[in-house]
Order: sequence, then C-alpha cells, then structure tokens
Amino acid sequence: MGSFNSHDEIVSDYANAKIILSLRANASLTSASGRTRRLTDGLRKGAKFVVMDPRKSEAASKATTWMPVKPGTDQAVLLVILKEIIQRGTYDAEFLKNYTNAPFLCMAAPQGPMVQMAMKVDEKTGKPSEFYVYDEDKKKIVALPCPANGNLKEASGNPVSPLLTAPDGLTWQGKPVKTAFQFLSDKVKGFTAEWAAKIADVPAEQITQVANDMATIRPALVDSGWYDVRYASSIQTWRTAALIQVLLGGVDKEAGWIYNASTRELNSNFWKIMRSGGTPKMAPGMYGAIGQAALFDTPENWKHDVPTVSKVWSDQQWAAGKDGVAFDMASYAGYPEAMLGKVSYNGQPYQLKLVFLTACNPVRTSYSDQTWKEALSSPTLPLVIAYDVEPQDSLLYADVILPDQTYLERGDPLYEAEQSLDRAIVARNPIKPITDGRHMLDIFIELANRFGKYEMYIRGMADFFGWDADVLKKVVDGARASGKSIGLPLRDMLIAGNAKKMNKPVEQLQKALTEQGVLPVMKLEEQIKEAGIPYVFPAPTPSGRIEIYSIFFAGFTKKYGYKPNWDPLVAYMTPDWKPGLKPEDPLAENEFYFTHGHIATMSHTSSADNDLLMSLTKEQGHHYTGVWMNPKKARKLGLKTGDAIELENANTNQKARGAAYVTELIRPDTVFIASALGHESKQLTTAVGVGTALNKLVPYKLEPVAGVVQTGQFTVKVRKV
Amino acid sequence: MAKYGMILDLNTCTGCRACQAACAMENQTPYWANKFRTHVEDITRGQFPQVERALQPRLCMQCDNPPCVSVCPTGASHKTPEGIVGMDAGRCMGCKYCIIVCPYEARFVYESADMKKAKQVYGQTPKAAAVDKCTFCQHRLKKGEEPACVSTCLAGARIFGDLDDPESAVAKLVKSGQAQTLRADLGTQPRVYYLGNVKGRKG
Repeated sequence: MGSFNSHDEIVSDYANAKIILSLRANASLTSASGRTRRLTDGLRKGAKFVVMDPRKSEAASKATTWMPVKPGTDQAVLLVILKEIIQRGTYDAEFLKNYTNAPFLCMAAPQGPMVQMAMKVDEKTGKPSEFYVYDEDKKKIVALPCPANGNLKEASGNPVSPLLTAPDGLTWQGKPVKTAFQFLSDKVKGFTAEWAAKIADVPAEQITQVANDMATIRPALVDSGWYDVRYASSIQTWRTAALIQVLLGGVDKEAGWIYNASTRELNSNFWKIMRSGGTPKMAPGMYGAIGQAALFDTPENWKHDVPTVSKVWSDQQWAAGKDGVAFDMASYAGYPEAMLGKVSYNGQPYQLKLVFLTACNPVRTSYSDQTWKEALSSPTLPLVIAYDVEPQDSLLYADVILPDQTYLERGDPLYEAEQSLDRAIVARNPIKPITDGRHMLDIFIELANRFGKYEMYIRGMADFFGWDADVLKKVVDGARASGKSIGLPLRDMLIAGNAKKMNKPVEQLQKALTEQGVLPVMKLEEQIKEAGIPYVFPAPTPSGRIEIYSIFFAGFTKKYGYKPNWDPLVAYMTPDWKPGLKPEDPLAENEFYFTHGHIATMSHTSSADNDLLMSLTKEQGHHYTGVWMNPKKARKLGLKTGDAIELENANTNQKARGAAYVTELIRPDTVFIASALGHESKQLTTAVGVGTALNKLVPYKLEPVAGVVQTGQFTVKVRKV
Repeated sequence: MAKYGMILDLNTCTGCRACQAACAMENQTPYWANKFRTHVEDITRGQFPQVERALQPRLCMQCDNPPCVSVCPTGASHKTPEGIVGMDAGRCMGCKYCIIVCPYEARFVYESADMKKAKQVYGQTPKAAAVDKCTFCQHRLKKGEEPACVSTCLAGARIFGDLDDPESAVAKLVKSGQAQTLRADLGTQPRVYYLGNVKGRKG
C-alpha cells in the first residue's frame, strides 16, 4: 500500500463492508477514534463480523463469528483465507493486473525461498526503472516504466494488457519467469484448514467457513489494525492480511482501505513535484520512511558525521551474528547500550551524554523497564532532562524536569482529522493557562537561541514543514518580543496559510475553527476523484503500484541476506514463543501464552492518572485490572479472583505481580492483562499500584525488520504469592 | 408534550463507558464513589468457547408506573409533565425506600462525604444530600439538546426521541416489536427499550 503505518494513514471503511475480518484489534470498538461509529454502522447494516482474538474482548462480544485463536497464530488462518480467494478466483483480477505489481515477471533466486523480481535498475540512482509483464495482445514481454501508478501504458504510451498468469515456459534473459501472482499462488496453495486448525487451535470447520465467506461475500474487508501484541511474525502476519485486502481490490475505494486525507494530500503533492522534476521536501507513507532509512544508512546524510545510535548498535549486532534492525523508525534500538557505554563507532566510544525525554515514558511504555532504569541511572550518562505534565515513572530518572502544558492550555497548531474520511482541519481552543507549563516550541526555540542557533532552528522548522521561513521568523520574533507563547501566533499563521490555499477569507476560517473546532475541507468522493491512489497518483511505493511483492523488502535481502521476516511476497513464520515450543505442544500446568490489550477505560498509559477514568476502571475491579485466566487452569493452581499472583517470563525470568481474574472469557492456555496499567511513581495520584506493568515482563528483544518490541513472544509461568 | 423515550441497541454497545463519563461530568455526580446515573453492565455467561459477553447500558427507565414514586413518603420522587421521573432533592428525606423498590438499580444516594468531595471536584454541590437518578438530562432537553449519554455514544447505540411521534426512530422501533423493555412482567411500563440480538446474527 505504501503506507508507513496503518494507524495514522489508513482508514478501514467498515460502514460499507458486508463482511469484516478483524484480528488483534479491540481498539476498533473501544477507542474514541471515529472507527467505532463506522464499525457499528457496518454492523447495523447487517455486516458479518469475524473477530480473531484469544479472549472475548468487547469487539469479540459483538462478532457474528468469534475465532478464539491461540495467541500469535493468526497468520496460519489468514494464509488459508488467502489461498481460498486465489483458488476460487474471486480476487479482483482487473485491479491486480492494472494497479499492482502482481503481473510483474519474477524468477526464483539461485538458492533459497527468495523470489526475485525482474527489473532494470538505473545505474545512477540505484532505483528500478523498468519492470516486465507478458502482454496478452502482443503475445510478448513488454517493459513498463517505473515509477508509475499503473500498468496500462508502456513508456511510449502504447496500451498494455498484462496477464496475471504468464504462459508456461516463458523466459526472460534466459531465466524461467512467472508472475509475482503465480509465485504467490504457489507459496500459499499448500495451506489447509486442517493444518491451520492444529496451529491456531480453532475448529477446521470454522476456518473453512470463514475462508469461504471471505472468498465469496462482497465487499469484504480486513480490519487494517491498530496497536497489537507483537511477535517476530507480526510483520508477515500483517503482510498476509494486507495481501488479502489487496487481492480483494479494496484499495482507496468504498468498503476498502482508504488512505486518509492528509496522506493522500501529501502523496499527490509529492508526485506533482516529482513529475515536474523537483525535489519534494515532505514524503508520504513509505517514501517518508525510506527517507528515514536513507538517514539511517548513508554517510552523506549524517549531519554530524556520525550515524544514529540505532544504526551503530545495529551494525554491532549484525557483526556479532545477532539481530540488528534493518529499518529503524523510532524503535529505541540500542539506546540503553549507548547510555551504558556499550557502543562504539570506528573504535571510539559512542556514548550518549544527554537524554531529553520529551513527553514520553519509556520506563513504563517501552521494552523491559529494568533495562531503562539501569540505563537512565548509569553514571556514564551525565544528564537526563524530562518534559511532561505529570510525575510519571520515567521522570523518577530525570535530573531536570521541565513542565509541559496540558493539552487544554496549549495553543496547538492545526491538525488534520486523521481518522476522518472526509478531509477536515481540526483546531483546539485552549483555556487560559492554569499551570506553569511551557509550550514545547517555546522551550526548544529558547534553547536554540541560547546555543546561538536561533536563525538556523527557525529555518530548519520552516524547511521541514514546508512553511515560508521569513513569515515564520516574523511570527516567532513577534511572539518572543511580546513575551507570548508561540502557540497561538503559529496557529494564526497556519490558518492564514490555509485560507490562502483554499482561496477563502482568513476571518471565515478563524470563525469556523474557533466556534466549531473543525473545518471541513474536502469530501471523500472529491479526494478520490482528484487524487485516488493509485488510480490518479502513484502509491508511495518504490514502483508506484500497490506492491504484492515488496521491493523495499527485497532490498533488505540484498543488504542483509534472506530472512523470512522480510520475504517480499509472504513467508509463513511458525510462532515460537520459546526455543523448542511448537504450536501443537502442550504447556506446563502453570504456564500460559501471554497477551495484553485495551480495556475500555484506558487508551494509553498517559491517561492512567485521571481521576474519572480510574474510577470507571476501579468500578470494574479485577475484570479490568486483573490478570485474566480461565477457570480450567486456575482451579488446578488453586486460584480464585483477587488472589495475588506472580507472572514470570519463561525465557528471561522477568517477573511482574498482579491479581488473578478468573473468567471464561479467555482461552484456558492464555492470560491477559490491560496494557496501560502498573504505574509505580508514588507522586501520581490515582494510577499508582493499579494493575500489572506490561513491560516488567517484556524483554529488550526487537524483531529485525523495524525494531518492534516483541510483547507476546514468550510464555509466562504463574504462581500464587 | 413530547413523550421522551430511549432505545439501547445491545448489538452495537461496545462497553466503552463514554456514556458513564459524559453523564458524570454533565450532571456532576460522585463518580469517585462508584455512583453513576447510567452505567454499563458487563455480563459473562456460559463456558469457553461458547461463552457470551453481554454489554448492557442501564439507567432510569422513566417508568410510567414507577414503584419509586408509589413508595416515596414525601413526594420528592414524582412524574414530571414530560413523563420524566424527577427528584426534588429538597423534599427527599433519605429513607431510601425508592432505592429498595427500583428493579433497575437506577438510584443512588448522595452522602455528606460525597457532598464534600463534590465541592472540591466540581466547585459546587447539588441542592441537598438526597437520592439522585437520571433525568434524561432535562436541562439539556429544554435547550433542544439530547441527553449527554446519547450525544456522546461512540457507537450510536443510544437512540432518543419522542415515542409519540410516529416518524421518530424510537417510535418506529417500538412499533416494530423489535424493542423490548426489561422486566416487562413487573408492570413498571418503562420508557427505555432494548434491541436484543438480531435473530440469526450470531453464528
């Protein structure tokens, strides 16, 4: 799809689907993000709702079919669905042929399971410039340009009729070739419901029924997900889900995965500039991420002649035969080591001397809290600054604390309404400040000023956001001269900029944003007509098409060697919670798979210390704050609801405390905790001591594609304490 | 005069409790003491994997034959002209007879400790420490607004309107027979209805 993360860039159009397949996504219903209403709109219209979840979450309680899969085994079921769609031929062939790289010719790699896509690479840029398809009418292989939004024309402008299935015996440059679609079909053809049933531990009949339904009911939609329990196989699991969605043709259209307005706007601006030969400053989706990867990898991009922490740490790891991170985007990979003095670059120590925690709480929300506590306390790390509104757990490790403003007081810039299908601009109207918090921008601008880099910082900000640097400087100078916060003046600047773009009077926008807080900009239908992806503009992928074969992932193989984690088509990854444990193996009497997730009243750790939300949480008692366990195993362990228990990560021996909640709502082999609880800072008012801290159990173990923290990749042992 | 009624759609209530939060803020109730004018029951039935989880919003049913009004010794509990079961806090003597007889657990009492904390949290207290309950946000109805819980419901699971208006969604659903009341056998004649699981949906 070219999106970097579905959470911010893709909206699932539940309201118009006749069947919705949801996995690992309770938040679709319980989080106030706009998804809820669209999902229930779909349900009200009679949509079938299939929910894959080891426990009966709120979302699962609304399902027409609940598949209580063993945690982490979703991919097995998804592969059977994918196979069924392919074998029945109920995929959207026209979409695949015209707008994806499904018809592109590929060959098997000389060794191993890798499939290589036939392409011509531009010597100067290192990027693909040509792909190949078999043309049905011309009865030969023709070249297609790259990047392009589709496969309908050769570079010359001649029309093309690509085939999804190449004729037998076709060769290219002497090598036997088939289409990416054929390779994908081959990969999945052997997966059966019986096989998946053994792994996911749900009835084969149920899998068959769901596969049949997804292959026949139209329109069908896979939930694009939100935040989920993470495994080594998470990337390939979501690839499989995305492949189903793409085979359904459900891209940027009704009942499909719809790019949100800001992504579509960013994408069309990007391609307009690219087409005119310019260099876009801001890139959408994966292009933004690729830009980030370039920073990661290319010395020319290192502004201070040294690579990032994660890059140095990653290289150290690969060199030692361990997993680094192929693509780092805010993964925190290597940060603790760099604080503890365990990282070096070119023979010199790579020692972090200052850590500035800006409104984040890694001690509580990242991997292993113990790792962070040790790192932030390290004598080798001289200074930790924190900036926040409340005395959360990470602040206990800060030398200096700067007060943030609450969102109620803060003059925020304008936001795009991310989870809205129609494009809208959102503005918050702050109350008069009642705390002594300071706006983040005021702090950073002042810091830049004291470093003697005021001009540079302002110009850098303007450059990054695509603003007029002179206008911005006037605004900032003005705010500082009058002793005011930059917040509202900046917002006024953005409103004026928007008014100019929209050719409307500034007063009109000011009025709408002040009175309503939201300004509708463009309806979905118009957006798709003008900038549908990939119908009008290419997708933000290397080829510009929707890629069932990920060229980006193929690049990782080139660089780091093949790993199923980054198979460019799809690879089934056997869930392996601990060495030697296969899905069919029984667990010990006191051992469980581990899951965590959303309770209705707590969306984030940052909302935990809220009197009202905590009251609503505590009203439900252990049902929300306890460790969910089925009576079958609970009885054997002598546990009843409320009993104090200790959970221990069976791989790492990390421990956490909690209270048992004995319930039939969960698989007997699985435990569940709410993700956002377990706060420790005694300076907090209502959150401390409630629930179990997730990251007391989560190891500092990152999966190698994007450095994702593997929050479900272990079993836990439970004992009464 | 409008005959206000509400329909709660059990097919789409997601148990998010936004209604509980919105109501508490709108009506300044003692949420810290687990006292709510509306709440959502979270009921588990059966055994894994056939286990069912029911999310059931509850509030005062604004009964047309309200037991709480029958038993009230002071007349504090009364039916208003719009058919809302109202509470005159000044008349309430705190005997709690109404709490005992309400089959829907819709009422709670403001204790003096709650009054103290309410002053702290909200800056003001109710008229008196009395029994409290949902009023269908009467103060909002007067302004032409829907009750806070209806307005905030993420899922669109609360439907509100005039039961006497044949064009209203609530009237249509009641007429269709799909909407049922809780404990109809008790003869309380609630104005709050429920849409149960649509036949054949689960499977």
